[in-house]
Amino acid sequence: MTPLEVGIIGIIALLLLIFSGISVGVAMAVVGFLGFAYISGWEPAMGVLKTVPYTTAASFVMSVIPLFVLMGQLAFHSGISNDLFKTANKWLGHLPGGMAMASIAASAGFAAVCGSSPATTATVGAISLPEMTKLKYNRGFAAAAVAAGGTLGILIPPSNGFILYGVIAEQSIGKLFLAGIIPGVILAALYMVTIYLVAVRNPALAPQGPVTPWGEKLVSLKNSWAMIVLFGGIMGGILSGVFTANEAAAIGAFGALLFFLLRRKLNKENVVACLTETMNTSAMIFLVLIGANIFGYFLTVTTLPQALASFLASLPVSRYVIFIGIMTIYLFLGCIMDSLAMVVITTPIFFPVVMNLGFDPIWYGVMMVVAMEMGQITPPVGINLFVITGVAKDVPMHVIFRYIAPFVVTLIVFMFIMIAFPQTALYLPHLVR
Amino acid sequence: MFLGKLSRGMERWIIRPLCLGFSTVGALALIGMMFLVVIDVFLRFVFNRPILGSYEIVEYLMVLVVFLSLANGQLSKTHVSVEVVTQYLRGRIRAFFEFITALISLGIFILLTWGGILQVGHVRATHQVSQALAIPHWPFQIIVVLGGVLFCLVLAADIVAALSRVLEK
Amino acid sequence: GGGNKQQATVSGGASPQSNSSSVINLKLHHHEPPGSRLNQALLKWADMVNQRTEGRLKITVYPGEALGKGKDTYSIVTNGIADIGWLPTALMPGKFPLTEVANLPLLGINSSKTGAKIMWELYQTNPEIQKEYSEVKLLSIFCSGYQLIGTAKKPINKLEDLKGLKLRTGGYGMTEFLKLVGGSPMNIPPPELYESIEKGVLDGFIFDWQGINSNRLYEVMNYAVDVSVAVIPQVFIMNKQKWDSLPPDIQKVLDELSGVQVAELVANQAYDAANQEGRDYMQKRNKQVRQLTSEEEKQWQEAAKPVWDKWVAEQKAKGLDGQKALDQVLQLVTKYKQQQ
Ligand code: NA
Ligand code: NA
Repeated sequence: MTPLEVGIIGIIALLLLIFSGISVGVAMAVVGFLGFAYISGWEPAMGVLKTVPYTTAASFVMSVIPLFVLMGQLAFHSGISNDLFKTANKWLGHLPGGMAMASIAASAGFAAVCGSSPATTATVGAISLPEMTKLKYNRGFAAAAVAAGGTLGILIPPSNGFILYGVIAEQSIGKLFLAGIIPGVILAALYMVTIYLVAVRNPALAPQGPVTPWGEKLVSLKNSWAMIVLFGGIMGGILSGVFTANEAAAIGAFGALLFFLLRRKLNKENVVACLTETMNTSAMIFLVLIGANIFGYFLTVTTLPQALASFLASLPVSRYVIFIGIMTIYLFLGCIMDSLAMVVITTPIFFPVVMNLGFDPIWYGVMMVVAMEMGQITPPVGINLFVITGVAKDVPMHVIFRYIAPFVVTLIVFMFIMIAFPQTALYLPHLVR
Repeated sequence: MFLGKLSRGMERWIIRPLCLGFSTVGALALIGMMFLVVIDVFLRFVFNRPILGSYEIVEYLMVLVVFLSLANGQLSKTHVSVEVVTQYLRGRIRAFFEFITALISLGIFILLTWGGILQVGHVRATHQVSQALAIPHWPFQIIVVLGGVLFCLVLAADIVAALSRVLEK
Repeated sequence: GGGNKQQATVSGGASPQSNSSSVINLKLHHHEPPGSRLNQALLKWADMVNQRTEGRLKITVYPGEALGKGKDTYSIVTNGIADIGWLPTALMPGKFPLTEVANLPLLGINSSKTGAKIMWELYQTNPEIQKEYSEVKLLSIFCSGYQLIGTAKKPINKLEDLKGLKLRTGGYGMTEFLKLVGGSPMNIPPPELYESIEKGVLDGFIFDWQGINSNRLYEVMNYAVDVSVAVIPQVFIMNKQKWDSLPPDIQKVLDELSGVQVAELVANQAYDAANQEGRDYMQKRNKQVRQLTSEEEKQWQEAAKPVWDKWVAEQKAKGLDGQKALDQVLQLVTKYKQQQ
């Protein structure tokens, strides 16, 4: 068998294993390991198993994941997220899907301090899912909305996605960050429209609350001050250079801890619940990341992503057709592999093609991030879906799969909007030239 | 009957206390990590004196956070899986699926743990240390092994439990 | 660099036709991005090997951590995940203690090309250093471009100006030197330097021009002191079993194209070419690039000497002859300075 054939068999085997109910991280590790062994031999495959787990965990950049998860748990158990969502409910609760829209707004706000989608999903999920449950939202729908909102984590700066692309394609990371702002706001708005439409079609998913009088709305604002202080402190700290975006997670967790103590929530029950949730969610994310890395190195040696890319680059059709073809490949690859790995492997092949077609490199960076976002919420391998399943314990994954579909469609629509109006991405970066 | 008792006994007397202990140490590492970064930022901003090596200490602490919590995730079944097919299975067939998947998981985790053991020897023999503070690398590589061994134990109990249900009348 | 992205493909470009049954395929792993100058140099080297073996040896370059993290490069090679790897020794502190002699501050190694000659000769003449590579086949040994000081707000007009500055450092030599002169070394990964400096978390960095250019740090730094604070030794290693399995004639070609050959290729194409490019970027933006006078350079070197002594003592504690390696390097620096 050629490596390419092994790659295709590996993907089929991965799908079968995942659907047999084994943990997703383990499934990726098993297939990645066996596939690597078949192509390169046992010793190299053992080499992968020896190094990848440690290196995946021992990362400063990755430390934001458990720390932001901790912050979300502390914010939830101290009641400050409850207050925020009570306020949001007074303002938006009467709209179809109003609270889910509020969680999108929260994701967009949080994305402005956090560069990672899984961390955004975990944090916003921890604070908003329980509130939506209280309001009798369909849990699958609520979870899907948070998973989708979490993708804003890499579109709205700071963003690990833009940093990765900027380094690979040698583009200004500062400009890429600027390019993500307007599309980020547009996508957040599109997600809200999607929620509205879904909720109007099927009101049972998101029960509407009563209309709150304006006086009460304004009064309710004062209850949300704690969360505003926490977010504002993190944002202000990053923007003024007191700490880096990666350090913000620890600062945020510490800030949430202060509220937790000030509100006298320090008791054994709360501490145990808070830490158990944090550790289990982190473990879940890292097992998936370890598996995804092992599987990713296997895909690299199969040369499958490269083969797909070169095939497409050779087609004699319009540049927009080729471009949409590239995005389709990303949609497919994003279903089965970690989106950061996907971009690392394929950018070297696609980037020159796309530049030859005359597209703008900064705009293409935004499109890459959109492709990564798609990968994060498309089943069966989508990190945000996994994270939200970890937070929404009793909601089975396949239920979330069902409700994520409208959001994937929204991302595809958004992609076409970005193709039709590249200036939405390029306006801000061009201002600073 | 005997298998069911065995798995419950293993879980109650060995696995659960170990998972709890490991997770607790991992959680302490996470809290320590939080305070380390907060103090580092404070010292840097107020006194212009960051902590040398805070970066690499966080990296080492991350190893504790991740590998000491993995097994508890398996015990409390919070690792993510897709149940779109298995939700329709009942009784012994479902138990059989659980048996097989746990067996496959055990296989890869035994290899991973074995690889971890070999790697401890490698990083010791090559005297690897951290960049700024020269903290030895190998004790943290041992954490990977400890986490792996406990994960294997949880899986072994899962296998015994599933097997007892497969063999049940 | 900007104009060289068209070649940023994974495979090594056109290769001569050859009987496919006898083609040996090797994987080369490194962690620099696909568009980097280092990747271009290694692709070129892979092409040279392919040409010289008449297509019998095909080396595929895997850039950008596609096969594993940079920190794991040594394990990646010894376990055969890739056959060949490029590794800055600073990524594996403690593994190559005597090689790191070249990382000591202010030794006066001011170009990657000179550094490559020094490293190669040092390796050839110091058996203790050779022993550090006993598990692998060492194809070549060289060093990074020189690490200079860039700052955003505060110009470094004299050595004392480094006091209290928070600078990114990436190796023993720079870190210890900065500590010694009263600065605060910080370990921040290169992709984050831009933002950290822009926002003022960091005052600047000690980094080579290649790294400065590829991370576009010239956009946020306003002052540079164009002095070689240190260089970072780099090794080009191959899996030993794989090497032993190669036919002798192919081993011979690889040997001829390795050593100083590949060292100079990388030095010229990846590092030294970046130096002028970086200075040009700064000049275009009317930013200051200051050279040290020779008196100043002597003064800085004197200031750095306690770090040398500390390092020698540390090696002694491990039972290694650091003094001998240091003396050798200093002699070689003088020798190649005279040849320049
Ligand atoms: Na963000
Ligand atoms: Na996906």
